[in-house]
Amino acid sequence: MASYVKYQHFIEAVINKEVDAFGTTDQFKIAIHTDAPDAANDDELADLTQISGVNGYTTKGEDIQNDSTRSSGTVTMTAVDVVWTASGGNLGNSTTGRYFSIHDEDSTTDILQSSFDYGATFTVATGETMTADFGASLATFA
Amino acid sequence: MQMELPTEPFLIGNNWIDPDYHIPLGFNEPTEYGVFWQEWNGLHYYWLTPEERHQQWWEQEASNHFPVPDMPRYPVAKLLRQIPPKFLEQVTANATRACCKEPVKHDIEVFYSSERDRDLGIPDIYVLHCTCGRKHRRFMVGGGARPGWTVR
Repeated sequence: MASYVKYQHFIEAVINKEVDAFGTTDQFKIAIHTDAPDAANDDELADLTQISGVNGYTTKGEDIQNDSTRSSGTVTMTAVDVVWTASGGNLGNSTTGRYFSIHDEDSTTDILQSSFDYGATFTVATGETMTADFGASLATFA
Repeated sequence: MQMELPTEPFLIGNNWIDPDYHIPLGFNEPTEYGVFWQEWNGLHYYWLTPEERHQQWWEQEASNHFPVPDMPRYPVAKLLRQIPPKFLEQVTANATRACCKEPVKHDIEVFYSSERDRDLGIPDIYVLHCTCGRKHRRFMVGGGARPGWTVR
């Protein structure tokens, strides 16, 4: 998979109950942004520069329909694929989207969980799609 | 808010633009690609041919990725047993143009997003190329098995 990069603050947020990452209690979203994530210092969505909320992109991103279950001493988080379709111009009116980050929409400050680097900037033209595929699982906590 | 996209062919200078053929694409600054159309929300929008769209996609994205040698661009129709159905179903469900909704007529091409993924041998970018020139990308951000095949 594209490398899962954990925002370092996230683990603190789990422990101090700012985030509920078990089950489906809190809604997590995936957002597209242009600036490289700083895993040590970024801790909330506002620290990132998202593409604009136009042409098929909604500011703050899309619901990943997360769920988490426990088996023995490990909790596994799953999610449902997200598909963006550009309409009426470039997705987010952007030519410089590159990074995808996941945050807890129900936390007070939209706490960041993880990021993924596409490896290059991309432009999603009108009529094109971009899919984030979460595969069998998004993350494990042990 | 969206840009007003024409639906009928029209002239820009001496160039006929056909919205059923040309692809509108915004750039940060003037470019050599396509035919300039208008500025909108800070971008310079041009109409590109499918070939120009492909070239621009290659230069911006694919040339920065790492191709999977065994999985070069190849017709989807010849790989239907290898490609997970959801890869095609989600494009059919979400694409807006009739041709894009028929991914069985597309080509598919696979990349690694980084050297690390290349060294691990785990492809994470799957691109469906529609006959109209549009790209439908799938970025694998979760765990689990990756579909694979060998084109000989």
